[in-house]
Amino acid sequence: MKTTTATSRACAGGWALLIVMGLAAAGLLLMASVLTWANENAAVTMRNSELFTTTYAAEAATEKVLGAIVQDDQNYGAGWVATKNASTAYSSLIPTASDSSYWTNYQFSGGANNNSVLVECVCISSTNNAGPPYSGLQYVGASYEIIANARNVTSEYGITATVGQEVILGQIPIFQFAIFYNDTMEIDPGAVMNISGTVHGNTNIYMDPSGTLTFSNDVSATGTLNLTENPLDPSSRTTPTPTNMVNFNGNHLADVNPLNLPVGTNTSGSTSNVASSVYSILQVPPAGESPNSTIGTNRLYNQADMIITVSNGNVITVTSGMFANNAATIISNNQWASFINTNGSFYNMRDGVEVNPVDINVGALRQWSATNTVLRPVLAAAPSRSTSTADVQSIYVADERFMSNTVIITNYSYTTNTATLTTSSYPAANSFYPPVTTNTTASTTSSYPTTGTYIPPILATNVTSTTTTNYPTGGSYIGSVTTNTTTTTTTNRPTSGYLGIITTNSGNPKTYTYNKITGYTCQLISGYIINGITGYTYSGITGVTTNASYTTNYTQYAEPGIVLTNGATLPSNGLSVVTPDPLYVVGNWNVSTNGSNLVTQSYNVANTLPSGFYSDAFTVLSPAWNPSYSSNALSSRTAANDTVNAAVLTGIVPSNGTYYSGGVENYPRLLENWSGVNLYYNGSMVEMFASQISNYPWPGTGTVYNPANRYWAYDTNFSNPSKLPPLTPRVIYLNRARWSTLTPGATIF
Amino acid sequence: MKDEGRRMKKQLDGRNRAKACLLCVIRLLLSSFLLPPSSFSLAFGQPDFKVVPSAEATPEGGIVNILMIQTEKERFELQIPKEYGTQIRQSDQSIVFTSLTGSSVITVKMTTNYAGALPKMESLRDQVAKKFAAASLVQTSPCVTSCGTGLLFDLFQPLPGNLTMRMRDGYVAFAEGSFEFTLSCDLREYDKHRLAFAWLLNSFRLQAEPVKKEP
Repeated sequence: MKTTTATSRACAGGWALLIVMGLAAAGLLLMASVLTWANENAAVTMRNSELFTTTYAAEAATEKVLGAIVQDDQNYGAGWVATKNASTAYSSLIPTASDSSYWTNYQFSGGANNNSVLVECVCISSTNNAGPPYSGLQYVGASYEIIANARNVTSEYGITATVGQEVILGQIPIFQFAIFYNDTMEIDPGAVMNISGTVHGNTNIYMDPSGTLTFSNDVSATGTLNLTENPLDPSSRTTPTPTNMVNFNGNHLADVNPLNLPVGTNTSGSTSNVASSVYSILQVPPAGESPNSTIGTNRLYNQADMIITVSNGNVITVTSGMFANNAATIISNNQWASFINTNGSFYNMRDGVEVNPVDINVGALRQWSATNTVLRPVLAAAPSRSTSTADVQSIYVADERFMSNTVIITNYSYTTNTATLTTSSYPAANSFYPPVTTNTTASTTSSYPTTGTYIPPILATNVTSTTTTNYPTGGSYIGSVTTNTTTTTTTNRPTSGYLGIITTNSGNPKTYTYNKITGYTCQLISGYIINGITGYTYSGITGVTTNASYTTNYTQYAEPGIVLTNGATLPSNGLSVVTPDPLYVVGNWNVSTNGSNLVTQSYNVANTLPSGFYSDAFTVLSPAWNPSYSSNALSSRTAANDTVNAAVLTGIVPSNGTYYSGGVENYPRLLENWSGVNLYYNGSMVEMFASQISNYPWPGTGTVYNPANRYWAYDTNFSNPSKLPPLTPRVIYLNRARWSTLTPGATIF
Repeated sequence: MKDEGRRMKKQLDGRNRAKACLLCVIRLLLSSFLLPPSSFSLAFGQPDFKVVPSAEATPEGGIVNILMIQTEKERFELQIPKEYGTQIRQSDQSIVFTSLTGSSVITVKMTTNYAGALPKMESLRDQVAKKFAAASLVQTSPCVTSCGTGLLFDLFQPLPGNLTMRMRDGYVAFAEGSFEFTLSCDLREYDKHRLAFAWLLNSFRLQAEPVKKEP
């Protein structure tokens, strides 16, 4: 028999409850721990997430400022950026609700100041070496630090993030390039061509040479590099270019960033560096424009040492430069008369127009510049100048005569009165209108008609068969002469008057038988039938009446031009010439520093001074150039060996499907027969726009010019910043130097 | 015998001369039928006017199309303007260049007028004014060619439809006569065609080598 007690069962049930409750408590504890751990992890993630988004917000604040600085730098240059920064224009550029409502979640600050960003120029100017594709070039520029704090004001964490960026607003002197084209570059020389120095094109570069083309340094293009001819070149070339015709000894890269001048945007503001803006740096500022305006600071007119303007009526005005004293110093006629002349003229066969040039005698200018007491004190006192740099370094020349000569009112006509006249003699010159009708009648004359009494040919010659005892004289008959004879026997042997042989008969005395001449029969000329001139009928001029009968608006066009002569030796600090007109350089340029040691026909640039040309078009005329022969055939315009040492910024006439631009090989325009003649050019070729005045296409060879033996090289002096030509423009070369997150509230990197 | 030979030669010369004269007369007669009265020359014998198209290689300039004009004693050449068609009119000894758009015509005409030298500017101007009686003659300037410099006259002629025709009429003399170069185009397209005209004048030259006549 089995027996159990009730007490024992109750004890067992309590233990079970306790165990269950213990396990439940442990489970709850575990659950609470897990939940707590999970909650803390989510908070950390959220804080991290907020840190990231806030960092991005801070970066956005720096980017907004950076964007504004870059845009201003591209358009107007580093000077404008410095000016704006000094006025704290950039530091207030924080992201706002007008950009996006998202930004209302953030509080931006720079250092301890709310609603601003720290923008600081940390280095006014630093010099840096550029890498490929601009190896060997140096860019100079100011460094800016931009630091922004951001805090999410809607978050419970309120994390502050700080981002800093540094940017170098670099600028490359444009004459450090051997060749720089803002528009399409074409290089299609017929002869071997070696290009020393860096080459850049802001659009596409096309190469289709007939001789080997070698680039010694880097070549870059914002668009494409093409070994073929430009599709807009109508010439028949071998394309694609045969292999090994183009050699790149340096890097060659396409699709690089454009290198722009800080010359503003187009009217819509969407495109920078447009040709019209670039061309405006050569132009005279419009009335009322401040030299300190964004456009004004880029105009070379405002930067030149001396300004020469020639206005309608041949009025010449010469003043000091704007930058020196606002052009306040007037240079009188007796000062400039030795080096300015406006009386010449020549024919530009390429443009097919007469040129009325402003001639600048650079040798005479040099002498005047070294000794004058009018301009030197002004320049010595100008910014960045001293008595040792008081010589003229740059001149601006504008010929505005053609601009005001555009319309002529013509109020005359010619009515010439005529009457039909007949005269026996030919009318005198200028007394009739052609043609003259010559009246004739058939007539017979006994003697040969004299010249001018008949119209050739003689229609017929009358003849009569005639027998004469004497042989007819020459010209009195036509055809052959028949000699008549009779057989005769005489005792005396005839010595003349017979025809043929004499037969000697035997007997005593001997007799002789022969054909004795009795006469001559011929067709004797008895007269000539001719168209005898009886007179002349014509419209004889009987008088001229001049009537004021109409008015015509007519554009009388003589092209302006600036002609530089006697420039073998420049003023002591070099010379740059700026003009909105076409520029012509006659003879050797910048081949000596002292006037005695002339280095010509050489790549040696040791004896040169900084020099640059800025013009609408650029033409080289040799030492043999004679304006009097400018309209003659090419054979009478033979060039002589020439040397030009200067940088050039000018325009071209681009290929357009009908005409070829002429290519880099015709960058300097020529108007003479250079065949077999050497043209040494040491400098830098910069194309920035299409020529506006001398805008007629490349004419081909054979008529206007024949190509020279091209001895062209980059002037290595330009790699030295102190030897750059006066007024050298600089292209923007932006460089992002550093990016970093910083300690919240930091004010420096 | 010598006399006989001389006589024979004289006889042959006479025949050849007569034959040449006959050909000349026939040619003149044909020409006189074909030529309009205005193109009658002062001299009775109009020089030859043979135009031969050709091409010329220029240094770095590629091949250019030229026309060679053969006269009695001289040979001229000129470049055909780009984007112009060419029509040679033997009948009036002229060449007509017409732009592809048809808006411009350049005429080169040879006459025996003004052989050797042009008349005085005032005289020629009056003649041009009369020739283009409906046009306004506004300016005289040098007519520059590679064969010498002549005279150039600028004219405007109003046309129906509010149009104005712009003309340039140039004259250059040579030993046997003169060439007249005339550009006629719409005033609005003058700048474009002025260049073609100027380059045609530039390219007009006398070939250096004297022409040898065929035996």
